[in-house]
Amino acid sequence: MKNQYFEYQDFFEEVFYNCPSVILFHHSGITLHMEQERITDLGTLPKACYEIPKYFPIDDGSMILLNDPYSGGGILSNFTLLLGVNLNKDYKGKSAEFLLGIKFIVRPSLVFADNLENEGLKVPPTPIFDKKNGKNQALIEAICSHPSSPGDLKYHLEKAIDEISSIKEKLEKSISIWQIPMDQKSLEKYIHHSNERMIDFLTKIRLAKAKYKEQWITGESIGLSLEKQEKKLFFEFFEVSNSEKYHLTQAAVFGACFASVLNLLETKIPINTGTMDCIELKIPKDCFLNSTYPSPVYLGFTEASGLIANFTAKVVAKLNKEFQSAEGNVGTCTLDVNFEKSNLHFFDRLQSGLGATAQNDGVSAVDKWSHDILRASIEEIEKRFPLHIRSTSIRPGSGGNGTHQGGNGMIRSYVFKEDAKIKWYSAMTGHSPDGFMGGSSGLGPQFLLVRENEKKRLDLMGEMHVQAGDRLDILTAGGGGFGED
Amino acid sequence: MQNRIGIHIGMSFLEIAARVNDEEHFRRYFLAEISESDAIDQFLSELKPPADTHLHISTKWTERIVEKRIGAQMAMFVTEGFQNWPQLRQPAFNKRVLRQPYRNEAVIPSDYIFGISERTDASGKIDKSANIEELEFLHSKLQLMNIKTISIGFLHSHKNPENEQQVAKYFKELGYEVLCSHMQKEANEVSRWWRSAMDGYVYELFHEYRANLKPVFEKYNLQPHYIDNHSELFTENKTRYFASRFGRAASLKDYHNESQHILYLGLEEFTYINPQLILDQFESEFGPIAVSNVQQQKMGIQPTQIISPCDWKIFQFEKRELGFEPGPMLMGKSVTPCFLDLLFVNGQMDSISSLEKQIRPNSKSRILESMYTYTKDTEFEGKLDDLVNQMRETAYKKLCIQLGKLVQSKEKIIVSGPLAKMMYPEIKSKIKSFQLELDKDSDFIDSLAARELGA
Repeated sequence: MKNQYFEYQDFFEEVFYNCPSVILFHHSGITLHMEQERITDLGTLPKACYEIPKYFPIDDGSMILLNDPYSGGGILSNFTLLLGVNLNKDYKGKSAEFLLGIKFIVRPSLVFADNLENEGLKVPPTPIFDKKNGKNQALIEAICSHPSSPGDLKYHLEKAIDEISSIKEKLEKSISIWQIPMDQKSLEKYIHHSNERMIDFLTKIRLAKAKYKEQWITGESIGLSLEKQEKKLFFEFFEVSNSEKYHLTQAAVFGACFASVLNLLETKIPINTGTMDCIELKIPKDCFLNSTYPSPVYLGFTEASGLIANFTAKVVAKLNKEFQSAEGNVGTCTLDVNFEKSNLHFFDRLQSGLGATAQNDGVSAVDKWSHDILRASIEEIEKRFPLHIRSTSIRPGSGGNGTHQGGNGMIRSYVFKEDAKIKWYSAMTGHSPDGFMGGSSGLGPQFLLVRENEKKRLDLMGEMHVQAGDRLDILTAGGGGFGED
Repeated sequence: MQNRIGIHIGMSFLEIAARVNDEEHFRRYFLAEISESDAIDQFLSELKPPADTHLHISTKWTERIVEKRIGAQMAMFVTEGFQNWPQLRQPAFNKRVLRQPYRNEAVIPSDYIFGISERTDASGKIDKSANIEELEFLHSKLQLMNIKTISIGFLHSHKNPENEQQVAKYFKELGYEVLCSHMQKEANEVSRWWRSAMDGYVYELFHEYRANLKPVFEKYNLQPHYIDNHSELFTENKTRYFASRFGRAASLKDYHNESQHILYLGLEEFTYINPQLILDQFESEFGPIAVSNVQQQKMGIQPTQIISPCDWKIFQFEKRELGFEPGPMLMGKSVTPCFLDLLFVNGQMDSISSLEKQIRPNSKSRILESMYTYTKDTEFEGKLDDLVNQMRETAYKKLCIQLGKLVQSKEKIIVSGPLAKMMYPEIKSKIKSFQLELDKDSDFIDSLAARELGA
């Protein structure tokens, strides 16, 4: 039977099911399929695939490693690995016909720095493997033994190499099972179809224009004019300030904008050039959404990307009222602990509550914009680190009231059994997550330090030394309520 | 040869394989039409097995109880401060960007999870023992709530079970059914707690299902043995009730010597079983549960998986399954087509043993009429046969790709289950790089594997 254009979606979904952040990219500049774990990946992975071959010819079997955010990477603990793949026997091009890319995380940590170079080891696009010479062991050793390199990079890199090779093998096997043509013409037809379907979807958005501006408590201002044009949604940012803390690249902002559109759709749509082409961005120069080297990116990519997605979702929802929701997914809290004596590093991230919508209560303690990672076992934490976890619970009453209740945040209480240096952060745009249509606000996040029975409320960002016996209570924000109670 | 009977009790079908006086007997019953006990009674009354007949049973009772959320109303005791931990640890469905991600409904509502003021540290040292007054208060609360089953999960209880044992003793003496988590020595609290919770949740109904069958077996002087996750037999042991969920896969592993992968194509489910891999925990919808089990994975295509129209790509295989109540359209009740209906339209379902009575021959036109709506305003308009073929083809391809991802090329896969004979040629034609083999005993493999356990 003749292959149908829509078979490609089923095919790619099946091949990449349960994969981490992954991309399949055609050398002509087409993203054929993507799965993402973080919304920034939606912009950064295609950028890496598009940009890097301009400087490095990537042959079939070659692998490129990078984490440089200005070359398509993300935060410095989030590495990208690209592999050149030829899938058609008669392909005669010099560089590989396709690129397969994955992201992998190495030792997450909370970083406050004024410069990208101080955020950790920056790896520009680096060829680490080619078919002829195999693994470039000397180069890998040099990267992994760099003083700023995360200690377990080598382990994770080896694992990532195995993983991308295994994905490639599964892709090849699946092509032979499905008998699906992977020639440029057929693939372009599929992308064209995706584009047409996406345009159809956008016609369901009724109003043509929306404009909105926000001033954040952290000092940033941001404006967005959103226009529904014939074949795309046009996001034009205006009056965007600079920021001391947050720095994003255009690619990361694209990811946040695209995610806010995906958020509207009930149907699972394929993430490819056809669908992504329906989003166009215009970002002013010299603002925190259009940062350039050497601006640090950690807080921008991890925290502000979610805030931007919340903001753009709010503006997108102005076009259609049924998409409106109370504020949520702010006030997520991150803790980083360095036990200097025992040379142990502990990292924790606690989710906040989601805002309620006209249809549903908000969900408690979950991240809307990045794939939920199951929280570590309490017993494992207490076994590995000089920490005693006193409690981990839902923060009752932290979700705003309303016809639909905002999701609750969570509370975790840590007692340090050894002196340590801690860093913490929680991103907020207002004082508390706003309710909507008469719903009340959720409670904002809190960090409370208890030392010798004295309780002290800490700022939402900071670093300090704690002593054995000190207790830190972290309370994440709840989501806003929707509608009058 | 020994006289043996194997029974497999599924969600909707019960099948029996017997060998008595060197004669083989096989039968399948549809549980919407006859009760489990009547089906077995009917079979045994015809068979008249001698009293020395070995009787082995694998069941899907546990899955039925959990899936339908009909287990015990029970309480869960955890270390104080961690009452919400089981809920917070439940996986959230947010892989794709959704307006509201969600978690599945837990089997124990959060109001029924109580914190006990006790603590053991990571080395197993008791920091605080449970207080009797607190337990007395809880007892009066549970009485008001009419709760008789409790699971206990304290932090680090696998290092030192003293606190769990103390609390368990107190409540057992008051007549409660108590399931403790410290029995699972190797697991962390998350999977350990769920295990004791599951043991408690399924206990009462599992016991009731067993009791319903007891008079039938007594009538024929037969002693039933149930199969657990290690393919061992038990008669009465509440800590093995939940584990019996994996009894069918364990007996299949034993039946097909352990070196072969199994693609099981049953009426109720399509599953891949890897007999070479024994896992310490089972990934459930609630998160990991500590229980040793033969690796098995439900395939992305299932027999009663619903096919629905889709704006984006004409049709889609939904995540939802119809089950057999009301069942596929081919049985005349449902109005929603599913994968089995595609096979039926293609004339492939006629050969399934014991389903002749359930299949309504005139349902073919109903299925086609409902699919006709899918073709409107698409390039399949007026080409219904093409669309049906495309749907079936897509389902097979998806199935084969999933299998291809699970098994290395050139490895041996045995295709078994009641639908194996019918689906094998299509699968074989798509997967050429594997050593695919059709199980000669595929039609009644579940009951046969149960029957032959330990033979």
